[in-house]
Amino acid sequence: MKKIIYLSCFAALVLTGCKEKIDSIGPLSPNYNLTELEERLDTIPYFPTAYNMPVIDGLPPVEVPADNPMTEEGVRLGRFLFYETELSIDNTVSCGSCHHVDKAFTDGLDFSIGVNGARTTRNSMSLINIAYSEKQNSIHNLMWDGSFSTLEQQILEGPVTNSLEMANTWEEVETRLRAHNHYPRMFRQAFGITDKSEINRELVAKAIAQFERTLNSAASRYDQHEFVPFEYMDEQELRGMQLFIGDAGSVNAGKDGECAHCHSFTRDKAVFGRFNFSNNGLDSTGNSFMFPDPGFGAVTGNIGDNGKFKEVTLRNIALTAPYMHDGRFNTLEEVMDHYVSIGHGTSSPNVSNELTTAPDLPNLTQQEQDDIVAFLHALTDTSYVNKVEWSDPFSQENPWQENQ
Amino acid sequence: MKKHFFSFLFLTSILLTSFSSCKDKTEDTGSLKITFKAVYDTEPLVLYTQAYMDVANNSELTLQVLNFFISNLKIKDAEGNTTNLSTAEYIDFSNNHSQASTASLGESIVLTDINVGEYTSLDFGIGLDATTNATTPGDYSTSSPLSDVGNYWSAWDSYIFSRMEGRFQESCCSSPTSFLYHSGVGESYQARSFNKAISIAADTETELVIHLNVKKLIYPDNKSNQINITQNNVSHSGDVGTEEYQTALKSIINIADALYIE
Repeated sequence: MKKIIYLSCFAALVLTGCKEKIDSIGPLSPNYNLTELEERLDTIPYFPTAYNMPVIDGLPPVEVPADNPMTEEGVRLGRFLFYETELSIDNTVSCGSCHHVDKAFTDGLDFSIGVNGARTTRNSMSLINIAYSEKQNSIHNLMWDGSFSTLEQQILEGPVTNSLEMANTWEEVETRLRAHNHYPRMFRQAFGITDKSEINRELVAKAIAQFERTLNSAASRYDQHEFVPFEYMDEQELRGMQLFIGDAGSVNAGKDGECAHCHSFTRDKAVFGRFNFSNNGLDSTGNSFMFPDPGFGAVTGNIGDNGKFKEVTLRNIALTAPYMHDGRFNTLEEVMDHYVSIGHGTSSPNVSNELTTAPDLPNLTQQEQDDIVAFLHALTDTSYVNKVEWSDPFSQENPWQENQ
Repeated sequence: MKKHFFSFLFLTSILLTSFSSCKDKTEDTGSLKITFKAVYDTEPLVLYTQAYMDVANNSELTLQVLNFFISNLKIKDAEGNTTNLSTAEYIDFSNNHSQASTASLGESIVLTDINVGEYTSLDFGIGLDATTNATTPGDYSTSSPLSDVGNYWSAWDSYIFSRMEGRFQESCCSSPTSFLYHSGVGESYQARSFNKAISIAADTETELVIHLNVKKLIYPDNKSNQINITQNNVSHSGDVGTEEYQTALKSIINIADALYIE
């Protein structure tokens, strides 16, 4: 009896082992050959290392989705994919094409350029500290019109298949990556896949999102003023900051530029943007249906949201010209002129009341406008421009070496 | 030995069963969905597009922004036992109330894991109490409305408790004027208690509807809290004691007083 039990157990173990093997390599067939074996990745070690997110004074910890924990290997893969032109149909455009590290991950153009020289419809947005735009209590977190909730969603539903950007299909991207000499190994190291066929768009999105969640920096003159002993902004920058914050109604109030209503910050959450959506009076229209670009309204379907766009962070704003969703202003001085003119009235039906009721805004002197611009320059952080971990790996001599 | 083994198994299974049933008992919870419906008398509020006659001021009002914190949500039973539901929630009428077709749906929050029972009142405050207001957005995960820097004034070390914004068109004038009342700071927190039989059943969502009559936001029944919109069309609260502060204070009191449960 005992023998029968032992034999049964042994047979079960053998069968179980066989089953796992079959599942991992796909169904056995007469055509099973070496090529299929090469699809397997499970001989490559999979020992992911948790990514250690640096602590940055002035910024809270980055929140990471539970289904996409960050690893060194995932971030590294994401960096390669971010700069990978094979994501585009004709191998010419990568995420990095419109997001240059020296321009705070924007491109310096009014409208970005996609494949075949196509002009996109919106201005490239900065990716520095983009993780702080992801709010769990909101579904409209990313893009000028709030069309995406998470970075993963933006990557999956955004540029790759957009006809003005990469004009590709995800099927083609998956085919290319599965056939690539190096990416299968990197996907294995990042996500533990056992077969090339498991490389898919979701993992691509997860990897790029992991990389983008590392793009955090706060080392501007403002940050030094707040956190570094004996480092201070100069008098003009301080005057600009006072005007920027204002304290309307206070008995001690000077003038109030009312900038901080939308570009909000606290000392320990100095993001300089509340990331809501508002109409800042760019277009004078007789009614809410006449906006040339409805922006947020096209996403929500609410008439009152037409002409509203995302209130962006002002960190590194001096590096991200031209300004607004359509890049209509070339300089910060032009932006200031616009806001001062809004205070004199606009015919736009839903322009932000925070602008139209700002009593001091139309009366800011040229000196005061210059002071605010000086403060905006104090939000410039170039500490990361030469950071290897954020740079284009394909600009290096042997980009794949570290992944062998 | 065999006997001991079976006794052990028997005892273990009894213990496991007992623990399981205990666990089941503590997990007898339900949820409470609170829906806030803004109305102009009985008509659902539509932001931006629907104008409402302000008879007292002979002007037309259009509301564009209406939102506020509610905090310290709790329910009480007949014996006075209190169950805390939430530290803070944010009611923002910019979603369903932005379209006539969805305005009647109101804006909802859902509070879960409430012990099954019969409750007699719902308590909460409009705005934030001093303890919560002493925190800052960096103290919270983005799952909390308290994490939003856009709802915080660094200049006054205070959250913005409520916002009420829009336009009013006076019969005398050709173009509308903006109004904006943002409250916070000082003693702006408005605690309210609503007597209502609330039954929480296991694994069931109980719905409670709270109406807010926007007609009373500017011109409430209590005349001392009426806001002269033509003279004071803007308030960011300002320093305690100023006229601006008084105007913002009236705006949050009026929100609190305009809430009712049928």
